[in-house]
Amino acid sequence: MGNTAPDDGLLALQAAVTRRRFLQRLAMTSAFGAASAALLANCSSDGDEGAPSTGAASTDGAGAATTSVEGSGTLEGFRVVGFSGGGTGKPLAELRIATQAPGAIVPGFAFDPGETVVRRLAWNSLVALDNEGNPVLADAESYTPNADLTEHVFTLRDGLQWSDGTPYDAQTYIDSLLYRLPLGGIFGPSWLVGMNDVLFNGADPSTLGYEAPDPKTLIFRSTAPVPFIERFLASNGDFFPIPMHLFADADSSEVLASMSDPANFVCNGPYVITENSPGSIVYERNPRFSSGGPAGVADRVVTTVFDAMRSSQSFNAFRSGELDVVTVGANDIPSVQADADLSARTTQIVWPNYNMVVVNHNREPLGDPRVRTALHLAIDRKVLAESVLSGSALPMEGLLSPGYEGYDPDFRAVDVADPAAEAQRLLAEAGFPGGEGFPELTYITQGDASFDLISQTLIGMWNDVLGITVKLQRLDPASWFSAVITPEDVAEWGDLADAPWPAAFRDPADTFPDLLYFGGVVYHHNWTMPDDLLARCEAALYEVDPVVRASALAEVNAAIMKELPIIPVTLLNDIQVRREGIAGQFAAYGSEFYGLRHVSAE
Amino acid sequence: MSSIESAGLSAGRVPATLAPIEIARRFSHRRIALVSAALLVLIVVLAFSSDLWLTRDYADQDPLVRNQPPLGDAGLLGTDQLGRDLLARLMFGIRLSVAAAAFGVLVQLAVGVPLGLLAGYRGGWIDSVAMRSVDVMLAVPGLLIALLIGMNIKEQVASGSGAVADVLRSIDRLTAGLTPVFVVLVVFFWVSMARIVRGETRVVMARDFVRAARGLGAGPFRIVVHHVLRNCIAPITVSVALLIPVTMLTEAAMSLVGVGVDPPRPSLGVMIYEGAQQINSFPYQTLVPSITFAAVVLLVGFVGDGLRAALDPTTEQGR
Amino acid sequence: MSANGTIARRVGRTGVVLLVVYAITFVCVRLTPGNPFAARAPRALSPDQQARLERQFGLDDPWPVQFVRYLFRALSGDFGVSYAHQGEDVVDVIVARAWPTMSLVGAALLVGLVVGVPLGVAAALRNDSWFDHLLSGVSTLGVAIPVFVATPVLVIVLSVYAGWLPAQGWDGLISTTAIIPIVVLALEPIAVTARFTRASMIEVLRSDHHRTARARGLARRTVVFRFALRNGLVPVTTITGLQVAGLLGSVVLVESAYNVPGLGKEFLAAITARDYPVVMAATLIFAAVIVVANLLVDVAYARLDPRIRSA
Repeated sequence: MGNTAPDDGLLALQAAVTRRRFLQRLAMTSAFGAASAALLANCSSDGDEGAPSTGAASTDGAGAATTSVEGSGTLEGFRVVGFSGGGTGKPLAELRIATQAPGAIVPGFAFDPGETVVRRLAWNSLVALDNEGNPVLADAESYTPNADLTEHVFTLRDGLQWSDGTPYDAQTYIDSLLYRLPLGGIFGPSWLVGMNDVLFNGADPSTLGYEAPDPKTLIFRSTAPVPFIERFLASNGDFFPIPMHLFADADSSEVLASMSDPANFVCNGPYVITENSPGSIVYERNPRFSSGGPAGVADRVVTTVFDAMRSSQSFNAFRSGELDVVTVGANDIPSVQADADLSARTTQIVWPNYNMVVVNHNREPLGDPRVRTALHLAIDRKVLAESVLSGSALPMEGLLSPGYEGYDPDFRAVDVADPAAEAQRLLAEAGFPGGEGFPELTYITQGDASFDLISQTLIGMWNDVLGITVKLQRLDPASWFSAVITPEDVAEWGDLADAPWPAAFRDPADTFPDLLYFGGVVYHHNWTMPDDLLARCEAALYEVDPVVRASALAEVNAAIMKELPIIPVTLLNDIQVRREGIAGQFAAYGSEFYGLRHVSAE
Repeated sequence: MSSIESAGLSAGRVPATLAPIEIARRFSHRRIALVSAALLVLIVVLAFSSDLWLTRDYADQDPLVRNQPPLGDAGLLGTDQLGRDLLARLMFGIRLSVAAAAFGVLVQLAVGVPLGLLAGYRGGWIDSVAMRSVDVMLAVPGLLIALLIGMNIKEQVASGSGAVADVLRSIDRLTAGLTPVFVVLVVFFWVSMARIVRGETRVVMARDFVRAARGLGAGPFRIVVHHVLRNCIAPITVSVALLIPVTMLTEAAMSLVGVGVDPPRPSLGVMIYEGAQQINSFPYQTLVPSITFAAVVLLVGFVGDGLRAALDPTTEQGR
Repeated sequence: MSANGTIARRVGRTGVVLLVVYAITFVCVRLTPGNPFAARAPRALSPDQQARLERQFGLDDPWPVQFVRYLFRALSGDFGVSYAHQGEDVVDVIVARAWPTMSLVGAALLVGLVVGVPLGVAAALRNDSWFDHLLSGVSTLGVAIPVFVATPVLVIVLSVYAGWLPAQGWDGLISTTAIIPIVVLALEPIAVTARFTRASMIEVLRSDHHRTARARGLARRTVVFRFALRNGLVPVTTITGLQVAGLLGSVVLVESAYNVPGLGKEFLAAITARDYPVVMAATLIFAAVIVVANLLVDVAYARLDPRIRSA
């Protein structure tokens, strides 16, 4: 994979690899889905607003969704659309939620949905996320960037300590990163001074632009203006501190194994783990919590481990009273709609997560932009999102997700009155009238109910509108990963495949480069972005002025989408139901933008 | 994974042989078995001729008639979550499941029987190797290995390069995507049959009339065909009947773990699994294929019981 | 040859069988595409990092070398460290999950015997009656209902609507969480045991011994329960042993369907994550249980069946 990227594409390559783990997990777990008109009508008393929920806590947030989309000129725009914050703040004795098995219970050793939940509850970094999903200072008591946003100074609080009473300071932060670097788990960020050299050229880690001049001060130096560093730090496990007094002179495996016993578990977040078994992890308050940021409303959090979020299994556990909040999969949304009681306790969370279709431009006739456009126009996204996926997805046409500056829900890559007719016309123009003579294409999809629904609907629509045959090949997620993301032959891996995409994940500067530089570093569409577009893209991503940034990004998005290197299809929209007496919401998956700590009593 | 039901068959009894016409006569006197056989034939004929009498294809989607219940305006069995006709899918599903079952039978007859005959007839190291292989296969956690095999084959078909992948791809085209299932059947389904036939062969070989025939200079082929095989017909038939449901369940389990046929093609297993995703909202989508599956298994069971009785001269006639 | 000698030879053979199963698993796992470190590392890897990790875990050696190393470590009880559960020893991963799986399988076998044997005896005593045919039909259905339908149906009826039982999970064998998985898992053993008991009993009841006993004027009840049942149950022992293999397959699906944190669910997760050490160890455990069960059955069979003992 690396050999496709020229040297100066290192930044992109490296940013891209940071995504793979996430993509794989996403591939395994996510359901993609959208705000269904039907659900809105059912669940909302003020449907015009687009507010799906009747919970006191969530109405505001969903309303803000629309506003933040329209007024996308501020950094606030990066906020997740539809995030509705965390309830009333009234204390809650116990909260029972669904989770997935964490790969590790210490940040920076694994990254998966289960680990993120552990990190949200038991760990703190310099910055945390508040009820609205915005960064607030946690271990840090102040943040001071320089004028051009390339030097970022964080001052730490006094009296920071681990749950076993051991104090820690800025040096612990530095040591934690350096300790994990050689373990192969740290991959970025690419904008940190010296990081690329350390990762790819074996440079001395002490050259990193990450310093602790004194125990209370941490400095990050970046190669470009980084206006989003607070959000980055709140969500990136690599920069969380770990209890170095345990790790320093020990083998990491042994410490991790010992910490999996609650008696030896040491953390710095608002909760500590008190029970840890393969089926469940229980958290209780950390009596030595010394950091800032939200401390959590529930006194005790019981997480039950499921194979997949949004499954009928967890929904039935909710219905039989074993869970307090649950995210409902597309298949079970009709059951929620049929139940007035449940519908009234529904929240909608729009995720900056796409499902797209990656197209291999090297395979004829997919190199022809008319063919790609025909494929794009033949998809009736409204039917897919609202009807097939029961509203667990929103139609999407561009690369910018909600929350990104420049996002426009009404953006159309190709704006025509009759998309189907235009699709047929373009296909005929490309030499395949009515699909005649068009080769049979192969679509590599993943063995997961929601991917099946989307991919089968797509091939049905392509067949109906264009008269072409696309054959589905379903693989298990890891095989899909090796066939699509790390194929032996990058240029000839296949025709079409699922392309789940966590837009705006971690570091918003990475999205365009990951997807589009140099033939597609993650998804091998084998399309190379023209130099002038590339320059505009970089300029837009590192633009500090939010207004300029928004319009520049919107223009770049429109220019890229003219070529349709990759076909966006839907955007994830979680439908969450909660037990009576519960307010607020939690993230079923990822939690990058959601405070798990924010569910409270009604 | 397949040996449970047939294990007790080779208890060492050798039923006296009955003439085929006598077997047919005895079978025809068993009403339940006869009716079951007729129904099975009817189901198979309906399934394989469904293109002639159905107006919709199994893959035709219609978003306007999604999740329509059975016996409504949207066809006899209603539609699934993509608005596809469940009756058309059921018929196609039966075809694939019948194909899997037929292939399972073929593996037993074409691999299991000759191997059992050879091991039983020749004895010696061939017998040892065959029987130790049987031991190993019986100890393998079948579903788990089936899953690994299925993953490998699917990946080869989807994106492999080289001769093996090409061969697998053309097989996959011929078998409507059942390749992983077929390979798993080849790997596992010879085992119990080989064991049974080998046991019977050894018993028969030790009997006086075979010794006599050998003494009179009969060749191995003649002995195997005339004496051994004839005596094995009963256990072979019963074993085949018993393993048909196991074959279909194997296909279903592989679909469940994602290594069965590719969508949108349905097998009964795929339909049961896809429907089970919807069980909270639209239970009929899994109940219809489940009931069909259970009915087919039941009918095969009755036919098997009938055959066993007809083949066993010690059972009394009647009914 | 003495019975003890036969058993000793069988034990030796069992070792060889396990070795071959281990080798087969190794090859199957290694042929399966996908990368364990894409799952193990916090994020996926550049080619350099990939190579370094492969060196670190010895995955860059030729397969035979790796296999021999696996084997010798396994023989000394060292199954390595799980890739997916950071830092955890494979033995710990397995031990933490083995209890639910083994107790489900054991309970299902027991339920299969306790329910299946009386049903089979009853059917044999009423051979060819409506009860016999009903039982035959129902027992076929027991085999024909896939666990991934039976489980959610029971959950919806008993948990969601009736509210009697939990909808998922595991609180131990003596808890309400065990009921649904055991019932689902026991369907097949009940059906198979009943069928074999019936067949075996019919044969015994027809036998000369039995007729003689009856002719001597012993009560039918005495004959059935004192003599026939004892002889009739010998083949049932065999089938019980063979059911272990089937149950270890079904339990994987039941655990997934009912969210039981057991070995079966872990096995599926380990395959998905390409957690080679866990897959290898779990397969070995499953194979060992199957082989030992069959060995025990053979021993029991030899003790129970007078014909074999004398032969």
